[in-house]
Amino acid sequence: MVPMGRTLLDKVWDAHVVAELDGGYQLLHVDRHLLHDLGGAPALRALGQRGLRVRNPELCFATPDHCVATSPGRGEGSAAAGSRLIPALRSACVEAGIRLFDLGSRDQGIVHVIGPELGLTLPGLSLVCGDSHTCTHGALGALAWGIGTSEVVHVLATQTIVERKPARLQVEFSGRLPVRVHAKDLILHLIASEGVELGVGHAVEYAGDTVRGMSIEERMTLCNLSIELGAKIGMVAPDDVTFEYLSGRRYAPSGREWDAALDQWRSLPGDDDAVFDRTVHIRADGVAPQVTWGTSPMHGGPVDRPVPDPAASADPAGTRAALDYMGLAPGAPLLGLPVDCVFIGSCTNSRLSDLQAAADLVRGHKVADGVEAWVVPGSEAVKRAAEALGLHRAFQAAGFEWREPGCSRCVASNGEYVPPGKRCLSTSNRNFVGRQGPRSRTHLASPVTAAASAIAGAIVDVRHWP
Amino acid sequence: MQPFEPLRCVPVPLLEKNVDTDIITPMKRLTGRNARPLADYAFEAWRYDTGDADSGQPLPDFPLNQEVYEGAAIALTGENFGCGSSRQSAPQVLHDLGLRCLIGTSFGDIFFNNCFQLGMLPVVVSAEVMARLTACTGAISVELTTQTISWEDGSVTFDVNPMRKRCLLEGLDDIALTLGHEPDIQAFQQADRAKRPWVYMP
Repeated sequence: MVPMGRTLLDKVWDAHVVAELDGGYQLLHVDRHLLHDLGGAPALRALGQRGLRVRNPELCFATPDHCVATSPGRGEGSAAAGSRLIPALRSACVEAGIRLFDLGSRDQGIVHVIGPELGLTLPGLSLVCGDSHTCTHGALGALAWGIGTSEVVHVLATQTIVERKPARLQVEFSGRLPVRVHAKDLILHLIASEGVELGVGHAVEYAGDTVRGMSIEERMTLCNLSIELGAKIGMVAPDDVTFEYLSGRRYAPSGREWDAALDQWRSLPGDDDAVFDRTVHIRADGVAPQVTWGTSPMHGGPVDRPVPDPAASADPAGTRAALDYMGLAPGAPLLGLPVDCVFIGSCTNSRLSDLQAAADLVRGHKVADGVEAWVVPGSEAVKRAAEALGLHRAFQAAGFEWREPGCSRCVASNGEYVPPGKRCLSTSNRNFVGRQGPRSRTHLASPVTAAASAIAGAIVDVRHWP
Repeated sequence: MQPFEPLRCVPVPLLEKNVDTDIITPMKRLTGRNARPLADYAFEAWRYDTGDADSGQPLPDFPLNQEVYEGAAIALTGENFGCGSSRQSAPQVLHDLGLRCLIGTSFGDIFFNNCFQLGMLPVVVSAEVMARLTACTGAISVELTTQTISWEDGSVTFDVNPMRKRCLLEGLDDIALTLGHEPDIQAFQQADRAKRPWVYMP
C-alpha cells in the first residue's frame, strides 16, 4: 500500500509523540511553554502544592501582559490585579528558574507577540500557553494551542501534554486582497461566512496564494482568530518568508544549527498528495472591510451591509439578543454609527505593520471630539520600532493615546474597561457580552478601519477614506 | 478529583448557542476582589436584572435562578458551548454549582478538555437525541459505566473516550497518569536532542 501523503499538522504532530495512550490519545512533548501573569503564578503554586517541580524550566518563558496597566508611565501597582499577580509571577519564576521578560524590561509584551519576535516560536515546534490565542504562533509553522490551568500544571510537571490529533481542515485563500482590506478582514469574512463552529475538533491550515503573499505578521493575524472559528490550532506552512523573518532573532538557532534547522523546516510543508478531512475555498479579491455588529465573531460582514433583521435571520432569538445588547435596531446601517472608543492593539493587531498601516491614515487628521482613541503596541520591541519610525508622534498629533505594551482593552483583565454602554471599535478578537468590561459594546475591525473611524467619530468604509 | 458517580436530576437547560467562557465567568470577577463566591457570578450578565450579581436581582426566567434546577448535576447545553477563552474558571464554576455532566451537540475544544481535568463529563450527542432530551420534563439519569442516558420512557447510549472514562471513574487526572511515563519522556528528549538540538535551550 502506498502511504498517504502527510499534512503539515501530521508531520509536526508525529514528531512530538512520546507515548501512545488509550483511546487514540497520545502523550506529546512540549518544546515551548509560555506563561503569563494571569495564570502563571497560580499554576506554579498548584504545582508546588502537589509536591511537584518544574521539569524543564529552560523550556518555559514568562511575561506579564494580561494584568499590566498600559497607561503611559505605568507602575506595576497601577492595575489592581497586577499588583498581586505580577510580583507573584516574578518570585515563582525566580524560584523555578524560569526566564521572565519582566515589566520594565526591553522584552516585555503580549505573550503571543514576543514569542515570535524573540525567535522562541520556530517552525515545527510544539508550543502551549494558558491562553486560547496561542494559535497565533502557528503562523510560523509551529503546532501551538491554548490550554487550561490544569493542563498548564501538567506541562510544568512533565513537559508533555495529553492530546488527540484533531481532524485536518484546510482553508485555501486565493486572489489578492483589495487595497485597505487586511488579513483581519479576510479572517473575519471567513468566520462570518462559515460560522464559529467550522473549526471545532479541527486544526486549520491556511494555504493558497493569498497566504503565500502575506507577511508573517499578517499570517499571525489569520492564525490568531482560529480559535474564533472554533479551532484551537491554526497553522501556515513555513517558507522563505518565515525563514527570513526568523533569521537573526535572539532565540532562533544560528550558524551551523540554523543550517541544520533550515533543512528540517523545509521538509515540514504538507506533501502534494496530503489529504485533509475538509477543505474550504475562499476568494480574497472580493472581500470588503469587515465590522462585526453582534456578540459573536460570526456576527459580522461587510462594513457597508446593514445589520440583519432578526425576523429574516437563521437564528432570530440569538440575533435579537445580540442587537439588543449592542443597542442596534434591526436593519440599521453600520456605516456612520458613532463610536465612543477606538482600541488599536491586542495579540491580533498590535504589531509594527498594523500600527504603520493605521498611522498612515491618521496623519494630518484629528480624532473626533468625544472619541477616546488608544494605541497599545504589542510589545516593548514593537513600541521601540514604532517610535523609531515616528509613529507615536503621528498618533499623538492626531489625538490618539500612545500607551505601554499589554493586553489592555482586549480583555480588560487589568481593569482598563470600556465603560458600560459605550461602543468601542476594536482591533481585538472577541466581541462577547462584557468582554471589554461589563455592558461594553464591541465592534471588531481591522487597524485601518479602526483608525479612520476614530477620526470620523463613526464607523467608515476605509476604502473611501481620503 | 472525585470519582464520577451515577447522576439523576431534572437537567438545567443552558441552550443558547455559542455560549462563551467570558459569559460563564466574566474577567472582572476573575481579577477583582469579590464579595461572594465565584459561582454566584456565573452568567451574571444574563442572570441578574442589572447584569451584575452584586447590585441586581435574579431574573426568574434564567434557569440557574429556578428552584426546580437547584443542585442539578446535569445540564443540557447549546451548540459550541464553552467556546472562546481557555479560562478553566468556566467549567470550575459549573462544577461549584454542582454540575458534573454537560450534554450537548458540541463543545469548545479547550473547554471540553478542561472539563475532564475537573472530573466533569461533557457528552456529545446527536441533534435528534438532544431534541428528545430537551423535550423531557422529568428527571434524566447519566450512567458512565454503561454509557447510558435514560429518562422516563427511553434511553440512549453515548460515546466516551475509553481513557477519559477510566480517569473519570477512578478520579484520576492527567498528571497522575503521565508521571508514570517519565522513562518515555526521558528517552524522547534524549533522542530528540540529537535530532533537533536547537529546541533545547542552554
